[in-house]
Amino acid sequence: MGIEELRQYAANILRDGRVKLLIGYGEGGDGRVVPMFITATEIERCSQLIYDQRCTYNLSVYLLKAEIKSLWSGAVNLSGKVALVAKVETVRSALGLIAENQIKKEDLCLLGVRGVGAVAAAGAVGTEGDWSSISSYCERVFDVGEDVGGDIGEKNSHRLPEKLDQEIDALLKKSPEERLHFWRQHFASCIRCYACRQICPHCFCSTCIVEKSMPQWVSPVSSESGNFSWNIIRAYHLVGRCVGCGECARACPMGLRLDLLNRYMVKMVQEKYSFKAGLSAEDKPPLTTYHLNDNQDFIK
Amino acid sequence: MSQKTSLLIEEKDLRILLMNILQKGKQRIVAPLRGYDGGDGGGDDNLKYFFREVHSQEEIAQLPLAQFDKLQTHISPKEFFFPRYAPVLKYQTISSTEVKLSDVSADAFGNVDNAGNAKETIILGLHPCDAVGLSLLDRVFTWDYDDNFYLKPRESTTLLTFACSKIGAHCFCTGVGGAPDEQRGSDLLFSRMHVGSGDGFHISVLTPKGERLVAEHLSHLSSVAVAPPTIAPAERSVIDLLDRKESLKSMFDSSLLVQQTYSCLGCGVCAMVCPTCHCFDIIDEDHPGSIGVGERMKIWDACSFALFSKHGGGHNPRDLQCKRCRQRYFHKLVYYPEKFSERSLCVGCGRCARACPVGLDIYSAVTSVTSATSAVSAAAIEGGTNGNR
Ligand code: SF4
Ligand code: SF4
Ligand code: SF4
Repeated sequence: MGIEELRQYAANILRDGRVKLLIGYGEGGDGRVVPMFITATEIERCSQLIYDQRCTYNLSVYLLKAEIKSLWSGAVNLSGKVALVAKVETVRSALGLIAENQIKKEDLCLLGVRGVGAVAAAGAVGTEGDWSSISSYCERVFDVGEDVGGDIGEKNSHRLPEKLDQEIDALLKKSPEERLHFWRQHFASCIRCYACRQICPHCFCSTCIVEKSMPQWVSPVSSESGNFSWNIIRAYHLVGRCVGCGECARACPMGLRLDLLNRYMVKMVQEKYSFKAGLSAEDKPPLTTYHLNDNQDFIK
Repeated sequence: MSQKTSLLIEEKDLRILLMNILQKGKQRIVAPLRGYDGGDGGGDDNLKYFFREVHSQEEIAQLPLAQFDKLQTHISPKEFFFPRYAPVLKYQTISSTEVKLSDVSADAFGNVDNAGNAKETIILGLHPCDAVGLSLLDRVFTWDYDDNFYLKPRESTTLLTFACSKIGAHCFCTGVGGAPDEQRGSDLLFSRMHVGSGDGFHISVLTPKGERLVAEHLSHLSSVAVAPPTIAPAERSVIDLLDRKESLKSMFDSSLLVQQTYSCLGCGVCAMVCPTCHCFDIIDEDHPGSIGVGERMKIWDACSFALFSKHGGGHNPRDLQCKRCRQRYFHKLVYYPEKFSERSLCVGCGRCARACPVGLDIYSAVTSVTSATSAVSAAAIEGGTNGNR
């Protein structure tokens, strides 16, 4: 049961050729978790698949990576399928990518993993509501999650939506000057490594706005003003698209609280448009669509 | 003045010494300080230290001197010579045919003052790998041109290195020709040992810069004939990457190398935290609100970025992330050593491994690729891209 079932299922779909590539989690040594990419020529590696509290990566980011894509969808054979070991945010990101025409629904085989026990407590659980919307897109959902102990769960828990909401409420109670000071401190330390962008499944532009140099819309200099432009623009571009997986904040080497920024956007979109990103493969993010009956009273 | 080569100092006296230096104000002190934790208490404690200027006596009182022999800073000290952004000249557009250029002076990080002079600086608490890293960078910045933006602060900085008493997770200095108590590049080398009635350090005075600092601030200590404590050999047995150079070269086209880097996302974290990555981009930055008046800036760049090798016409010779990773590994272990007759540009500090968001690291990638018995030619990868993925 549990992880064994997932391993066997993964091996089966690779063996019978239904998928060409499976992306999951494996041990990386020194306690690290690494993404695993398994093709039909090395099915035995499926026995090394894991799922525990340390598995935070949103593996949907690999769906669009060229080398990885070549493993399942060569230019010649477009019928290849890719399977993902997908926790709730991974599924939601994948659905978002389908909705935004980045990947075809029929190319994707989602093996949902619904954390149990300590794994669930460490976040990445998803509500009943989330799962009832997304389960139908999954080939199968596995209740799985090995407790590797330690304080990982606790360390991850500050990224849970409720915790973030508490922090946001506290921030909103501050004066605009204090808030500005808070974000100044954060943005001043950004070194412009772009890990936040690269780890995000939804930052899929082939040329990022910050790389456009004629004209240079966003300064690539990691000064306070350049960093303000970059971080705010990135947040704006993710409104209604970000699924809140928290990977950008985790990847940021400088500890910028991008999770707070994005969580606030998620809340606003929920409030104003009753929309939660990635719960369906059909609904487009609200800010990327236009309807004649859209609310227009903000135009003065 | 007789040369002092070995000194002993108690930890509390070292702290008092630092307080005096700060009070005199002639040199600025840079040391590992806890970074801003983002208000969330932070994650891994080890990752939360950054080299920052020490401004107050309280900060000195709190410096974890007893931890300096194992404490890892997240970003290397290269920031103080090669900051993440720095102006190199000022421009002012007069007309469509005339631009006035002038020199810049101060940078935003206090390395160079308004008169263009580098501040006298003491960097404290770096590890031997970091000091070696700087001496490797020296070769780059003096190679065909003396880059004064780098050299000025470099010349006015004294490096107070702390030998490592413990090889940290992901460290592999001994696999690239280094050692936890290596002396190269350091001005003073501190090794932890029992001194007097408590904890203290053995100081090896290694350079004229180190001697000057000792003469200025430590003249009351007398030289001792005590050898620095020997550092226990690495707990982690490390494969010698220098032995793997030829094997790595033979793997240039290997699909194994491609496979090892499947997970790389092309963020530049590894390059930015690295003590020896030194690529930069040059961009013109207009002053806010003005057009044609501004500063030409040198900013950190990384070979992991897709844009790094993209040509003006759109072609990208490193069109896939695996080629960008290969470039980084080869630059560290093949190109630089061959060009400068050095051992390796990687000093094994392990920062890239600790910071990589998907758990990739140069040591594991290179060792596993070169452990394979024969090179396998990479299957042509289709779908090469000009984009970021
Ligand atoms: S990951 Fe952090 S440091 Fe890197 S560009 Fe994003 S916000 Fe800046
Ligand atoms: S190796 Fe890791 S840190 Fe370096 S570019 Fe790739 S994903 Fe980023
Ligand atoms: S490549 Fe990695 S281990 Fe080597 S010097 Fe750079 S950051 Fe350190």
